[in-house]
Amino acid sequence: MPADDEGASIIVKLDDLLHARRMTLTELADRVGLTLANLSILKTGKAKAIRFSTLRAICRELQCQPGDLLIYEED
Amino acid sequence: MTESHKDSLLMFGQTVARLLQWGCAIVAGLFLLLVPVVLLASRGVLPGLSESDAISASPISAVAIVGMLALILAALSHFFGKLRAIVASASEGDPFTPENAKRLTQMAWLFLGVKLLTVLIVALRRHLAGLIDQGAAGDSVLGFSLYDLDAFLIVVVLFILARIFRHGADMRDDLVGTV
Repeated sequence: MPADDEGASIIVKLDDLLHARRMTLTELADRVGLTLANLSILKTGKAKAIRFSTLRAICRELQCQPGDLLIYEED
Repeated sequence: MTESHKDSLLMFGQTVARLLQWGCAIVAGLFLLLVPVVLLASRGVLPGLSESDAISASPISAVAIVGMLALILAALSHFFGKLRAIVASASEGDPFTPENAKRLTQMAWLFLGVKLLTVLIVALRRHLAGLIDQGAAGDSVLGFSLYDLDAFLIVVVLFILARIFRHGADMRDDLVGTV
């Protein structure tokens, strides 16, 4: 039986990474080939799932690891 | 090229469904208008028709047959209306919705109802033919057959399609929040 993960959440640190790289969301959207709307959904933590291709493209452009972008946090 | 072919197919399907929907609705209305005519004929009000063997043998059966035919055509009109809505959603590129799954389930029930009414009509026709006793049982005006299992197969397929569409709608819902 899987453990109940209610009350835990995945935090998306895209804002911090963009700030550190001095890059705008629009610029990143252009580079990874995603719409600004979809990237905003990811940034605000409203996304239900993330594709490996999206994760790969973001890590490539921001020169980071998936763990730098996504953090598991217990409430 | 394939897409334009698909689009033209959907457009054709929608036109056919629209024609059948309105055609069935009009004929259902005509059959409904026949109900009082048969009732009047059974009471001898309409001299020409009152001499009809079927009406004079069992007026209730005759009225029931005409009424059920109207009901069948109304159900078929409703059926094609739902088909039109599904084809329209497919034309818009969004067929996997919970609404379409519900429509397919309703179409299956409608078709099952049509089939059961058809069986009842066949039984009544035989009853009337027995009363008239002219050996007219085989002289089918509408060509209904009690052993026609194709309709039941269509009902089963529609229920399965409804389930598939429900799964498709759930999967699509998952995709909505995926970036």
